[in-house]
Amino acid sequence: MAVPILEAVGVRAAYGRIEVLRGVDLRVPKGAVVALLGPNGAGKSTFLKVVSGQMEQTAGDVHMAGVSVRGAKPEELARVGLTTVPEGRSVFPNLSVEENLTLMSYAGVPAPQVLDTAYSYFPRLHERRYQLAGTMSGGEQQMLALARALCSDPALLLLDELSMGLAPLIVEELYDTVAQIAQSGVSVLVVEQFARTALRISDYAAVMTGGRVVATGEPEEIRSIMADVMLGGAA
Amino acid sequence: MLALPVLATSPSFADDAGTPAQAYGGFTTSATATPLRVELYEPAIPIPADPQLELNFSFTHVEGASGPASKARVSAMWPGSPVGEGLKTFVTQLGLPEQLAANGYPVQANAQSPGDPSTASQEFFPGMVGRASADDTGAVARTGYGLSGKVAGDDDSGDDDSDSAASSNAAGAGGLLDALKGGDLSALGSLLSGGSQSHADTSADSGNPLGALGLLVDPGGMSSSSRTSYTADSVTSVATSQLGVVRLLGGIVQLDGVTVTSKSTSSLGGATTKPKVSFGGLTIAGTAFKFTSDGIEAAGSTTAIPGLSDSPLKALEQLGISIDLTQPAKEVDGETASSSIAGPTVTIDTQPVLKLLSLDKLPLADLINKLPDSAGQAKGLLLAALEAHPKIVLKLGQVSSSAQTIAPVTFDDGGTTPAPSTSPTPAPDTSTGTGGTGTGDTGDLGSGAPDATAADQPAPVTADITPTSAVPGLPPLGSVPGMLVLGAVALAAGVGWWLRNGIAAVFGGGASCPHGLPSGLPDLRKV
Repeated sequence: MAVPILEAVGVRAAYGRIEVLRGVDLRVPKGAVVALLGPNGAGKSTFLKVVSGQMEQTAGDVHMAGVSVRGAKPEELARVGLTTVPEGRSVFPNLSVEENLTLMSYAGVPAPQVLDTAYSYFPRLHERRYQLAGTMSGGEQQMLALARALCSDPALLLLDELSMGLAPLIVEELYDTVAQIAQSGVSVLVVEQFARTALRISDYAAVMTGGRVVATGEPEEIRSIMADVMLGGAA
Repeated sequence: MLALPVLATSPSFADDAGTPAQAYGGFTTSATATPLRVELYEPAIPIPADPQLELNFSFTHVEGASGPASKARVSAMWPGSPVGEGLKTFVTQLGLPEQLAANGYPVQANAQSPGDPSTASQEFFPGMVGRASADDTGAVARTGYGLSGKVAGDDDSGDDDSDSAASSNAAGAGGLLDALKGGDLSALGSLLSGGSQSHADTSADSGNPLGALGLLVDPGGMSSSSRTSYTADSVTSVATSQLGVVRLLGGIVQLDGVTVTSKSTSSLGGATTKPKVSFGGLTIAGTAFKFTSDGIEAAGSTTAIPGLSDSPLKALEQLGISIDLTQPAKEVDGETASSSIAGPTVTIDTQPVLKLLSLDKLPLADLINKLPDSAGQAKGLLLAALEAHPKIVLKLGQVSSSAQTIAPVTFDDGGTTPAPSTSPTPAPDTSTGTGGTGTGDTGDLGSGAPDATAADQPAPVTADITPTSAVPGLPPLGSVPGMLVLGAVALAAGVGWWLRNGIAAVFGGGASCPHGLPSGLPDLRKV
């Protein structure tokens, strides 16, 4: 079996005395889209923080391409191809779209190439290139965040609640782009509270509740047991 | 890496005065005010914050940053960021209907710039309006209300009226005071639990937001404002909390007109901050006192609060209640200044008080168990709360402010050298008596405006470039000392490389993962 690009083994993490992750096991095969689903507060975003090095696990290990990355810093992981799009977009509201994108050239990719990449995935950003990011709609800001992530040439893309606060049509559009990104060979781990759209483009899915992964499988399989699992039946 | 874009978008104010003001490159500033802040410390509460719960009455907050970006928030009762920002998460976790938090925390109004809305207001309840506004030049948030329709500064807080009020309060609290002097702790207990004490009824009728705790702290009216403003060369933030007549411990201690202010200003010339607390008057057990620089003064002599024996305070200590005047926290470092301060702080350790309240005799557990099972988590929390004995801290007039500016990065014609942030070179000993700035700052931060006395100043550095080999402190490149320096650098690099890569293999770090996998950082793009 091929070595997965990301593998979590018994990962535990806590905020002070409150343990949020209680032994998470998850694999993301190379080039696959994996949806990590679960209710609010299940620990999904915390898991992404651990994987991206923003938070240290208290037990367990995170392996990337068969290598333990315990103790790696976020910037080190970013340098080797791990990119996170955090919940809430985190665009610079006072900078224009083009300035937000140009910032990515500091990661080493020339600015024209950054802009080409971004505008080819999201033509709407080209129309808005001189607009302040803070004045754009939520969907457009999410496009900008996603475009900015793509400009770092990611090998593993972590997406946290892409659909948060967005209209269903926009969410569909964004996930179409995620599918397009995955086709180019990028592995994607999507954390989502709203399962339907994420399952549509996923190769595999996992459900997390109470800090543990309680079900994994193909999207159809997960879709059929989703309600039971989310309501505690499989816990 | 982020500094450049920040600088690139720093505000471009017109220098209308024509003076060579030192424009800053970037800034951050904030101000927060709440006339009454209630903090609850109880580790059993599953909220990852310290304190676990907080309530800020008449809360105002503003912040500004380079851009300029301004935000203002006003709330009649702000529960702190963990709950205020994440209400939906808590509602969901507690098993309550999501509709309760569909639009976030409701008791607030926010304004921001850029973005919408730039002005916002909300009438939280009749008589109390909060207003927030933000634009390119600053942000303002203000709110206030009086529990009996009177807010700080109203006429009835004048000396005559407050004296009579103090007397009546002291009379009302006389029984309590006498009981405490006699060591009878149950008197306060019965008051807290709504016993026969008439003043407790009066307090409850006044609509005190603290409910039963209103006997301990009864703020007669409150208002707050937070404001920040940016000009071409400085930023300022001011936070003010005002309280009308504040009665502590059922009127034993009464403070008239508490005003707490914190003001921070920053410019490239330096930063200042000024926290300040002022009370209109202080009455303890019917005796009026005033604050002086030497402490509390009564009848012309500074004493340790005459007329009030130690016994009530000791009795209160046994009840877990203490009153402190907090020291202001103040920090100034270059162009950064911040301060925070609060008026009197009442700390209540509820363990002894809860015993007096005799809560165990109330059928609270039975009532909680009658809640529907759909609110299972909420039930569990409420039952756990019965066992809890939190510490409650009541802070009157909490304010804080901060301001920071940073120098712009400028480039000379060569385009490589950043300008120094301050004047590192000693000022020439001149006695021109120009009466210039008087700040002693000889560093020109790149404004480019020639000074009238420029002819007297040393020539610009760029006109007198010294060969590198002649720079003091560095030996010539080809010399023996130079080779030694180069050798030392190479040796250090080799040792560094070995420490980074070799030591892991020597001590088994290459197989540190318990799953038998090597440790390191794989290039994910090449796998």
